[in-house]
Amino acid sequence: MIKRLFCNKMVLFGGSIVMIFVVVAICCPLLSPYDPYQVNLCERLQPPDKEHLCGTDNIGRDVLSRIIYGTRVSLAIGVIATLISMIFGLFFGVISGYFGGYIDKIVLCLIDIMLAFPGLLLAIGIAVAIGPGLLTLFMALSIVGWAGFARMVRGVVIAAKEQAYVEAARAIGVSDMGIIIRHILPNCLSMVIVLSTLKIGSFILGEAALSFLGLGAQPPTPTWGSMVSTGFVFLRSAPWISIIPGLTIAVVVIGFNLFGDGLRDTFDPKLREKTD
Amino acid sequence: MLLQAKHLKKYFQIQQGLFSRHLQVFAVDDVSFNIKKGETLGLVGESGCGKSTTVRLILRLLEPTGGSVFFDEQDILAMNYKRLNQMRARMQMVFQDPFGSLNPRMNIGSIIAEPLAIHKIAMGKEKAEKVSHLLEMVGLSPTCQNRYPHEFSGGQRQRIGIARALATSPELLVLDEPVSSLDVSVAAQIINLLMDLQEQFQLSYLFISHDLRMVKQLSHKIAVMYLGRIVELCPVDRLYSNPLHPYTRALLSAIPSLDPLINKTRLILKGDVPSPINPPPGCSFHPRCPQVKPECREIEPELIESFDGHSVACHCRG
Repeated sequence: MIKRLFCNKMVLFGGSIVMIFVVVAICCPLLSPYDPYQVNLCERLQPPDKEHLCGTDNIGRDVLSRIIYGTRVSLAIGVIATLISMIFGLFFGVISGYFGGYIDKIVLCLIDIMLAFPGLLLAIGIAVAIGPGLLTLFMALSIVGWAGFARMVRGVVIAAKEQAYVEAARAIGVSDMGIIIRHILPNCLSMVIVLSTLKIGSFILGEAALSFLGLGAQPPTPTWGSMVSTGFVFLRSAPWISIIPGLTIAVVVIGFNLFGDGLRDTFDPKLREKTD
Repeated sequence: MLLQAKHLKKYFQIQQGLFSRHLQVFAVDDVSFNIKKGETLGLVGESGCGKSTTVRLILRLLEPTGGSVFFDEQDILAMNYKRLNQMRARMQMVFQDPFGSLNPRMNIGSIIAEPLAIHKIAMGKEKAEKVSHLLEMVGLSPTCQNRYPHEFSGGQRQRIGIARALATSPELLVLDEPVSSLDVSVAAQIINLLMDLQEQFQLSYLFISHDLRMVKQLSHKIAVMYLGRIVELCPVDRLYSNPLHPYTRALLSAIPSLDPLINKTRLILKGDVPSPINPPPGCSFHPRCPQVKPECREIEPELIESFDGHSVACHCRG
């Protein structure tokens, strides 16, 4: 399996991008050339040169340093929001898929309601209601994201429930809990991993959008979305302030999506046959 | 009497069409039989006649619509889930599909150890020893514990399934077409293994098959099912020497013979099995029966046992 993962070009390419950003997030202080909070009004709106590789913003902060520090916030939000929505999604998806009947109908109804809202609009609504901040970002994105997880997990559980080995486990005398933990969840795992990597990308994008609108992390915390937003005013005179963080967002999201697609191709035996 | 099934019924509800016409599938309709300790009951019939549903009702993997099941004088259907799960240690099942019935993400050791852990039969080192012993018992090497199901052939997997079923030292083993997906020589090995195990542990079997030769090998009694009902139930030698029901006769005449010189007259039935959604009135076999009488179209024949223990549900009997 691991060998096959390394043979998949999408996994390799996407994975390397993701790895680079993870390393950057961990080693921020070592990598960033300046203090991201250091205001230097003499050097404001400098175009990229030897001193400042990505230029400076409207109050003279180094754009590259802010991007490097922004990696922490973006990845943290992507990963934590994904984890929260994964836990809720798994819980609701499993009980709905496994037990069926009225529980299934109620959960499915809830999922449908959540999915009927345009995701970002709902997140904006939630963020406005509880006030901007990092915690708001987690909550808004997770509330929007769990329904997708739950729906997918439910489908996988319904398929897994009908497998002969689940019936065999019932015949042995395994309890419902035991069947879910030992027999059903391990067989959903590959799907969950794949969906999670894809979700991280979309959550990073969502974080950027909320921060752009001023509903996410508050200044002076460096986040990519808020950097795009501050540079927006200077798009004609100093385009690097917006474009470089914007490109970074694009690269990270592409990295996670490629990684997720590649994982799906290697985990899904049916797709694997086609690619072989 | 180890197992008694009385008037078991299972009707599946299905919906048809937009304005949900509720229909019933009569999968199992009034099935009764007994199994004594150390005895094998063979259950035969063509695909879709309700054999697999019947055994799932007995193990309560499906809830019956009606009837009752007694295992060792205890009512299985009246038990709560806790009690039922304890009871399941005494009645185990081997499944038809050796590829689907083993969890692909568990290794052989933990597959076989699972019932041991659940029924708290063995722990720790004792458990590992027991697993090795079980693997040896079914003719596999104890060294293969760390391998996964996909590394084994169909016959080996079925042995693993049997080892798992034997782990709790059950009294009744339900075998749901255990050899139908295996080739003939492997199937024969499995049948021999099952016969050895029965002799060794005084096991009772409920053996399902559509292959009459396999059933003859293993069974003491045979029940022939047609469209959710038992049409004939008798000791194995009587069934093969003196079949009474026309359906049984047709089945027996379909067994291929090894001797090309024997000129067998085959009884070929007309038409197809009727749909269990809308079974014909009277005897469900009457549209295909070569000896059909007027009353067959109206009155449902009951399964009546004669003095020699030969039960048959047919108006033309005797």
